[in-house]
Amino acid sequence: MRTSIFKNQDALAGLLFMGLGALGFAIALGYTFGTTIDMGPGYFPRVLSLVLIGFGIVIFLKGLRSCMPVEGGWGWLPLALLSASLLLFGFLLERAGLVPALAALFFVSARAGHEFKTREVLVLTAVMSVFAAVVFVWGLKLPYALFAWNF
Amino acid sequence: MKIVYKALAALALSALATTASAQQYPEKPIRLVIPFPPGGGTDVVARVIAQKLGESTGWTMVAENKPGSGGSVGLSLAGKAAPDGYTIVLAQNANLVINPILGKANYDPIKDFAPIGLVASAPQVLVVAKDSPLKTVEDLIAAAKAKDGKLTFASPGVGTSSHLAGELLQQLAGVKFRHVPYKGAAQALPDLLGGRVEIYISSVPSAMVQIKEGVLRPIAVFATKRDADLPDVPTFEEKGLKNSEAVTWWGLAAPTGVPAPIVARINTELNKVLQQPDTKAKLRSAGAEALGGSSEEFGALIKSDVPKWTEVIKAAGVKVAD
Amino acid sequence: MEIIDHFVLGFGVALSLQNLAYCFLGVLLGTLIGVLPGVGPLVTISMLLPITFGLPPVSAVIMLSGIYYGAQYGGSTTAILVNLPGETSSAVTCLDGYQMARRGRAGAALAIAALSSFVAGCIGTLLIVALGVPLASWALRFGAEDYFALMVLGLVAASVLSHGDMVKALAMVVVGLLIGLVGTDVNSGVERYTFGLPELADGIGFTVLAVGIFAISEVVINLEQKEAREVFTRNVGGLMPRWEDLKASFLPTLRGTAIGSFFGILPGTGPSISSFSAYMLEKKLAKDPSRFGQGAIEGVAAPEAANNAAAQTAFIPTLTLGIPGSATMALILGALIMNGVQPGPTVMARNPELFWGVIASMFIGNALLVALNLPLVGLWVRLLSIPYRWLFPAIVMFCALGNYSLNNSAIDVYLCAAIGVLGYVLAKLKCPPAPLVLGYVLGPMMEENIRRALLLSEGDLSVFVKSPISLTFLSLSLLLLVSMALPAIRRGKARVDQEEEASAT
Repeated sequence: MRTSIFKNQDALAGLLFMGLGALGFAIALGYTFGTTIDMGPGYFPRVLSLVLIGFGIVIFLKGLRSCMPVEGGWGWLPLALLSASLLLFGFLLERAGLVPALAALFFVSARAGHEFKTREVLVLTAVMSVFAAVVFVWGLKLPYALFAWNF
Repeated sequence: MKIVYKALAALALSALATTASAQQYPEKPIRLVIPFPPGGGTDVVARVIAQKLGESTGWTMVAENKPGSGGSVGLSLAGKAAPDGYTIVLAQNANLVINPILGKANYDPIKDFAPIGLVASAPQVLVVAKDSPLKTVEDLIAAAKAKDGKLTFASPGVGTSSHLAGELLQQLAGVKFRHVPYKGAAQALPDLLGGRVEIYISSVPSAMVQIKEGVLRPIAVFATKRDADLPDVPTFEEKGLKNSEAVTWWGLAAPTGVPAPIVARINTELNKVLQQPDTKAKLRSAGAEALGGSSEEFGALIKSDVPKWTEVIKAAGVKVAD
Repeated sequence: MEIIDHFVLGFGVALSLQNLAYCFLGVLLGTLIGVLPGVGPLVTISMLLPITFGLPPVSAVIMLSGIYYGAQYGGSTTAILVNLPGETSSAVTCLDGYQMARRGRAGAALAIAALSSFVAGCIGTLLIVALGVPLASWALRFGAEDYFALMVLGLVAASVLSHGDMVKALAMVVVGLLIGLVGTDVNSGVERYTFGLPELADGIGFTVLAVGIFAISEVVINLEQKEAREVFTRNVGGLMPRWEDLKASFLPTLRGTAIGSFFGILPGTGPSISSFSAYMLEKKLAKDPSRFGQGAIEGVAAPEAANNAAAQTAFIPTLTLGIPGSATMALILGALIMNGVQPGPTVMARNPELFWGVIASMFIGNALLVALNLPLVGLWVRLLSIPYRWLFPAIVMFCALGNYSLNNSAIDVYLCAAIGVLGYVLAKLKCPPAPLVLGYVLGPMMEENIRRALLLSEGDLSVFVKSPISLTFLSLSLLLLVSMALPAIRRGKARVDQEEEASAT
């Protein structure tokens, strides 16, 4: 049985580890290596990156032999929506305040669900905004504005 | 709840207000940026000042912790804020002066900040474990010479005020220590007490507990006069090491461009507050001595600190960027 | 008996109506903030510190300590219910606690977490009383080489965290080690992997990593199918643990307590290492290790006991040496000093009322926590019957707010999103998350200490075998390696034989 590399669980994992290792190694070239007795800041990063590349190769080769496909489909859409909701929240909290940031977070992240009902999300936003305001702003005295305009 | 609500309404309006004159100042809450996490020395000093300023003037002070990179994150943020007097920062020499010299910050202590006033200071102190053979500054220098660069000196981190005080001492006394950096006092003190390192330099407040308990023995303080809490401990100045002052100071600063009347207004209120016995006592319990003074005096201190530490750092070859 | 007099004195102080009230207030606040991810005892105590100036010192310290150990109880709640660790030390509880919840056993998991925490808290407190001073001076004997050897043992033991593919688990440990290197290098002051962002100079926060890796990726996995699927079984078992659960948890709780007490005394190691170690030990000792990660009750009992014991014994170096092991302990130390109490070896003689009063309040506080948490179990479990389409945006909200509140910085929220993406991809490729988190926890300490050990020994590698503590840990690591290698070699051979047979047919 042949599995395409792009569906092969272990081959993909191996490639990912090799990539991370290569990235880590390339950046660590900027740090002094030193010696085993007198290690510089670059010693650990470079050694670890090489070890990671090594593991990546082993896992990749194993993947070519075992051909285990990735289970289930990829959930790129929910992943993108959830990440976007976090990014929006961070962006809006300092500029527009807590309530708009939460509204954006709920409206974007809830799209990732299987059902999206505007009314439900509105209620959820209202309830959780009150909760967050009471707990974080009033209770824990964190210095967040509920509404702001700092663009 | 009412105050919070008012504060929020005011914040929402803040974008509309552009300039503020000293007569009407402040029209909205003043944000005090604390460049360290809750609980540390800087946080305590900042919260005491914010509370006292608020009580004595009726201003709404909002303290906001913006920690990171030894204070660089908070200072950089405050330096870039609108120069309207509604964002001020409690700076420390370590982050305002030293971080830029080390290349750990992207601001200029003189060009990017308007000094408001000095708040408090605490000296650095050199300590040893109670069973150490070192008892005086003379013992220390003799031991450092005899060990020929192998006397181990622990600090709470590369480029911290304590580390630089140690470098200054080496340069003034003409000796060499082996520097062993730690993440902080929690990691360094067990090694000092366990006899694995010989000396440690720390700010007075963070070593006070152990000194009082007799676990640590102070050798000398890096100050021009003896510390009120340690009257029996000599200064390095007394021992003939001139210009050996190394203190941690805290001061209020604002981004450059703040109208002079507003700076003067905050400075006046700050000095009033620093005169109150309760403020002095609260700062004292955090190990800091209340100071005060004009904004020009604070500016002069920053201007004299920059070349002093630049030289120490250059001579010691301290580098944090590769 | 002197100790009985001390306890009479202590309980006399702690049982006053006022101190009881502050103790209750402390543990209640602790439980509540423990549930919130990101928001921990550090921010709560620093906020309440100024208020305590008006209180008698004993009441102030009783309340602040209650917040600290109470947070360890609350931290496990969201970890078990929705895979969202409320405190850093409860990340390990996600592994089996959440699986129990999905199988309808959230009630049992929550109850066992509370009970094992109670046992550990009481034993930890007894240790402070009985052996505080000698234990603290014993901890001072740990040098850099010993810490390094301890971290090596931790890494070797990490291999038991894998289910299935050992190489993937090891690769994940290395990824974790690399993530742990982000930030300022302690030994040289150089900033590594910070991409010029000052916000990264202090490294990637544990909460950011754990929330991204566990909570965000779990939500995406639950949403990736086109059809809505049941995340939690509708078939909810009893709220309270069964007799077998209690029996199965008994020894793991005691072992977890022992491990937690050990790490609590060592300054700077923290409760996350202790809960990981306790989990790994249980999995190693288990007759059927494959149950772990599938909802094994021992995998909840042991780490929860460990982090509570560690929280309690962390008071030992703070009270008897004045050396705080963590930022929160430094804050409690500060509270003591500002309230006019001088910690140190003679604190028991100088302030007997305070010392014994606080100790007695810890027993009372732990009992109050169980009384508070067991009735809450039913309420928490009912949360799971909320439709997932409402529950998951709320989970995302807690991730966002919790991460933002760490440093009041949006960067932490962005980072969490990025780590969530990495965590999801790794989860889809069947790479276990726990070894990554362990590598992240151990890595920086390992590097820092090997370099410090060599700096202090002037490059003499023999320090690692000259120190008896280091030698013990290194020998244990070697033993563990050999014990794992032998069956693996045998299994590997068996598999090759099987494959040959299979290809022959």
